[in-house]
Amino acid sequence: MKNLWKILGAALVGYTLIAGLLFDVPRLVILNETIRNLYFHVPMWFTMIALLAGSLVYSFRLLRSGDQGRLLDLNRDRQAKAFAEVAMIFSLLGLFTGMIWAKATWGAYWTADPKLNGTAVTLLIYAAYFILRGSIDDAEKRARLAAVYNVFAFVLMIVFIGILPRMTDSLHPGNGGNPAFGNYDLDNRMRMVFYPAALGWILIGWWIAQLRVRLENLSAQ
Amino acid sequence: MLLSFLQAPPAEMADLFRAEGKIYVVVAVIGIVFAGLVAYLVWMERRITQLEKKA
Repeated sequence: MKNLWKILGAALVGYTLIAGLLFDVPRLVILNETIRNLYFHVPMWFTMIALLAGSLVYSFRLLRSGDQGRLLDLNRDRQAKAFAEVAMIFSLLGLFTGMIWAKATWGAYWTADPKLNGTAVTLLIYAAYFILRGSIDDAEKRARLAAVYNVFAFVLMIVFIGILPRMTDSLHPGNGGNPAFGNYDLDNRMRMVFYPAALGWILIGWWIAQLRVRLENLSAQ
Repeated sequence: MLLSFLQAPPAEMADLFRAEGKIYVVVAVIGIVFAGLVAYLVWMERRITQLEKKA
């Protein structure tokens, strides 16, 4: 069945909404019940990365489609754009949920933390992707330039979110010698909710992005 | 005496909140919200499929 993965995504997220609130979690000072945010905040970022990776693949395929003087396949351009768009929605959700969690545990909505600033820079890098697209009228040129920039943007995203925060001090779990939840508090009970949540949200995000692609294709006709 | 000194203070958790039972009401509300959003996605999916067939 073609739509099975959509049902799976909805079922997984539905399960984690219930289990994430009702199942037992480790009792830790400062974090207290907010440890449950792990099930909802972190999957937003996993989904963003998965969708941006999808967008990157479509950009590669666009560039490949123009090989040997063939016409560019502009469908790939619409796919890359739609996936990046939906990825930005998820990154904003991740940012806002993270700010609320930071206020409760670190005492401030925003700190000059490399993880947080890296995320802000990443948002600007992708904002530039959409501005670049909007500034070119010729569809072929826009598709080609946007695809090249998208490759550059993805690499910077990995550097700013995945690498730099790990090289300095950071409050954020998993960075700068600060252990991630996996090291000591992501026990097996939490894994039973966290992994399904991550997969489920990725599937939901993929679904939304595909709907966006189909809408773009219809309006392009 | 020595052991109790070594033990970390117990972390505050929402035990009472859970003991009173009504947490299920919140879970049900969240469930309905999510089910509604998924239903909307399904509706959009069908509408787009219809348009694609027409095009």
